[in-house]
Amino acid sequence: MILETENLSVAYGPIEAVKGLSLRLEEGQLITIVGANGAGKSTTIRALSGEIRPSGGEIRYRGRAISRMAPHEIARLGIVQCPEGRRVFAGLSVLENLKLGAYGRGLQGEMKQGLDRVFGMFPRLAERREQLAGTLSGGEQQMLAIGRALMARPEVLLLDEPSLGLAPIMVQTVFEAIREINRAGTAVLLVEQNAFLALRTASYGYVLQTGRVVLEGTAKDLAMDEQMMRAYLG
Amino acid sequence: MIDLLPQVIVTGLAVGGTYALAAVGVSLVFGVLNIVNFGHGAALTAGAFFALVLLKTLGLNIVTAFALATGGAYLVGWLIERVTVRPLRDAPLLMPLITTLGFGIFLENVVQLVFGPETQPFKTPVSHEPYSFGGTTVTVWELITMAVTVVSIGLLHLFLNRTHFGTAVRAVSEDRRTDALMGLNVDRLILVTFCVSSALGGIAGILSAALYNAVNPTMGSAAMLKAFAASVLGGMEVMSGAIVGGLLLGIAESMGSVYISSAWRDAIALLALVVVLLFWPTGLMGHRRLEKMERASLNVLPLPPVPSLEFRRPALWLVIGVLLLLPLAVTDTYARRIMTVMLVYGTLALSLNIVAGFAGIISLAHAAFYGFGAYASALLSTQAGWPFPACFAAAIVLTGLFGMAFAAPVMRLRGHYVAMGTLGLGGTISVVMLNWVDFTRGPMGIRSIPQPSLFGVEVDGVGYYYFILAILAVSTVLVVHMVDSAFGRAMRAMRDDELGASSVGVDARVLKMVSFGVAAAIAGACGSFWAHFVTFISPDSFNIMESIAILAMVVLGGLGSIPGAILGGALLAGLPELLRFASDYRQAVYGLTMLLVVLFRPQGLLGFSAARQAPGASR
Amino acid sequence: MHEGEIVSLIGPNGAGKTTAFNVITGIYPPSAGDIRFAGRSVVGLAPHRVCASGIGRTFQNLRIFPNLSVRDNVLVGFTLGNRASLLSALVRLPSQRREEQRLQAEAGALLRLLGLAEIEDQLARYLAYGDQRRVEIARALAAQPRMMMLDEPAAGMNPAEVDDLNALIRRMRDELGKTILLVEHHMNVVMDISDRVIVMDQGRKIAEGTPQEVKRDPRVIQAYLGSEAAA
Repeated sequence: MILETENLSVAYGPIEAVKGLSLRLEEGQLITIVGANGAGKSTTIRALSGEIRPSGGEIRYRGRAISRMAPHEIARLGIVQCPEGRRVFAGLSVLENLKLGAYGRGLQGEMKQGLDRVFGMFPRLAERREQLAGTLSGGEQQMLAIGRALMARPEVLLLDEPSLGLAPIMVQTVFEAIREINRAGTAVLLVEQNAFLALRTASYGYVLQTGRVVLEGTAKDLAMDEQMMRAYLG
Repeated sequence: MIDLLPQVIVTGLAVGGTYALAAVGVSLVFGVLNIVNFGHGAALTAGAFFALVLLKTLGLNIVTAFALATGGAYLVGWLIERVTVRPLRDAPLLMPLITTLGFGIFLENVVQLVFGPETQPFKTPVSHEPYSFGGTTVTVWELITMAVTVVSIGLLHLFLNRTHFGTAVRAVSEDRRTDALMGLNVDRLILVTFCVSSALGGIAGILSAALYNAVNPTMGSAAMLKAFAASVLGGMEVMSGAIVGGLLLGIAESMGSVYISSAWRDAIALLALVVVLLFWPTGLMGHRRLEKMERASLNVLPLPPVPSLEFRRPALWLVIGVLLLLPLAVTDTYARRIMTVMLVYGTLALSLNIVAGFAGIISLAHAAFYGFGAYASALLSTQAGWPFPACFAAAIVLTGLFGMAFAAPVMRLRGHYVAMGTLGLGGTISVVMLNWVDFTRGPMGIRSIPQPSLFGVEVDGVGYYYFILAILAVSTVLVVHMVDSAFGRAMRAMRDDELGASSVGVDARVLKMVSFGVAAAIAGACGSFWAHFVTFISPDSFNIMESIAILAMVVLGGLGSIPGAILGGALLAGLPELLRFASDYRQAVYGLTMLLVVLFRPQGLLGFSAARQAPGASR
Repeated sequence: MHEGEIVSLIGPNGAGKTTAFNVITGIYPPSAGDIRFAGRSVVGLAPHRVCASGIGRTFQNLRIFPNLSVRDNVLVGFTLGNRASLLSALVRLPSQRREEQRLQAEAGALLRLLGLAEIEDQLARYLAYGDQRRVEIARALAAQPRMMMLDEPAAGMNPAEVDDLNALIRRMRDELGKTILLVEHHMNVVMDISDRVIVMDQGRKIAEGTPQEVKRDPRVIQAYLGSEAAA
């Protein structure tokens, strides 16, 4: 077990956005959390990264409780989040963005290997390495965001809505990369609104509705489940 | 005249270099934290005085002294961040504005207490002998200034662009959240940013001390205004903009003093600050609009309940009784005079509280209204020979109208820009008072203003006390009525959430204009009273420091608390006088008050104590 | 939209629903096109003028006044209906007192209608989330709008509160005669009360119809759940 939550609850002031969530991520596994917007998916990811302090429950990384740690400390442990909306540093070049990913985890010495790996995966980024990140297309920015997270050599990669706002062809490229990262041994937690896509990529899934898990199971089973559609369309 | 141009530009570039260095510091901090460091001036003063001590007292060589002094300024930045900014990371934006301002004033006054307020020569082994190049002369210090500016900015550029740490600093200003997600320690990055910014300010201070061969404790505050102007002109968060802005400002000042008049030199920066803020919000190189219609609410502490004026309440009678009977117990003329002064400031703080407390607009120009009323009354009395009641009434009306006019530009600004804009406007008004000699008699001030007389009776002695007490009483009733009405409700709503208020039809522009109008009218009444009370006024009594003092009074008493503001005004005006030894520390006390109150009792003495997070503001 | 209709605007994240709201209420200008309300264009009006023309709204992230009491929050909503001048307030003329009494009475009626009367003296910041939502609705109603625009009113509410909200929205239409435009993720609300549903995706309208029609529309299902083709 690399990452697990036990009865995790998260509240924004009086609003409880996540209620009693328990999920498990094994070494090398790729799991997904799906659900309509407002279901609490992003809140879960933010709690895992230490951005919001949980109101209840526990988060454990390799058996160690981490729910009181600051975001940068969690990132340094190797739990790296690739946030929703990409959030690349628009005024920095592609190369600078990538290098920061490694620098944040103190991996200055392994800059070269990291860059080789990312450029190997996304040749498009190599072509645009000197360009300002803000001038990239949406898909390229998503590649950069994933690449930047990869530079930190994550043990666990948290992906928040990587398909959001991308053209279908780009979605394919991005998801292919996600599978490849997972095949190379990184455990991945994928949060997605595009449920079919997410369930085809992951091996196990949780369906969230208004902060609660209403359904969980192997991705194959979930994809066929009638209840899935109800979680989205009522 | 045109052949002077190369000379004007050379002089301007050297001075502009110091502005550019200080402005880059302002922009650096603004970019990373989105706050304006109103304590930046302290770093300049500190740098210059560190250099003075190291050179003169310790006799170090010039290069070592300057390097160590820069290191000293770096540490001042560390102090500013740890004391005034770090504890308030999640507090309303208003809070670091007040703490940085207060701490800056405090530090400058510490310097003043140690070294005295006089301007001292800043002797260096470098000669001030000018060299001539085909008619254009340049001093060694001008050359050194330009060289140091170029080298410092070059090093900063390398730091920000060629080191991982510097890249991370730039990334913080883009997106603090993602920086932390990448494993970067944002607190440390912000701390170092402050230190570097202050070191740059320190260098600017050292250089300008050497350029003018003079140091004095308030040089930092003056230079800080120039730095704000340069930074705003350049586009605020853009470093290259700040450099260009600084150099342009230096050249403009140098041209202004040659082609117009050196007296108006300081007005150029102030005007640039105001005009650019209002009409050219992106500046030369900025790309963001200054403010969107976002939740830019600065002040989210709950307001205390409005005091009721029910005369059945014994507490109210007690206060009124004590105030009325006090002169019977205190017969000493000096003590009565102090009591009168305390009431003047109580009234002033009450009036600023309308704007700062209830409307949520931090104005650093309130003394300008006070001064406007004083000058209006004094001039009508001495020049036009009007009787006192007419002068008094005219001062109220004119200052009220002036306040409404003043609000028109200010209400286009939000957040820390309001404070900067009012600082610029207030400074401009001071400069006008100082330099429009034909009208205001300039720094000499206006003398022999007649004592007030009402219905043929000359007001004197204890009469002054009762007269200002009456002004305070009427003002208090008006303010209570205003706040405790539909109008006041809309004002407090706007303070909480301007967009929310506009969605139910509240016109924020009208509210702001009227708030400023009423606040200014009351300040105008105080000004008129003051002019006829002391019979002599000069611009010194109405400068920026005076505005800051009034703000400190409101903060001490409690933003939005009516009795609090009056008490705060009376206390801060009276205490330094009563504790005579303390009058030298006056400004240090104001500064420290702002810092300590915000850090430890943000609601003020009589403010409403409540939990600090609002549920609605947490998302 | 027609008078007295309840219309829902739905769509996945980033579909442009809230943006549409903000453009209608004057927060951002549209880059092209016109918005007509009751035959008059409201494009380019400042938010407080849009309100004066008869459009009331609530906000996704709540923009109540946290430091005002519930009653005062609602009273601020009556700003447009207030006939007392500032001058009369400063000296407390009898006419201003009468006007204040009238507003207080109307606010009281509205507070009772929304079930807020018992908590009217509390500061809004200390209320439970569902109550804060109702305060915002009450405040918007106080401005006497002809049309109410509700931006995710059910966000963060528990199922019981959602049921109350549904009832409230119906009453606003049936008893107060308001036209209602709704942005909502809570499908229970949307499917339950809407006369008509408009579905947006990536800034465009992709479907429109009754709740039942929309639910079966393959384009809608694809927008929400994603398609096999994209995978």
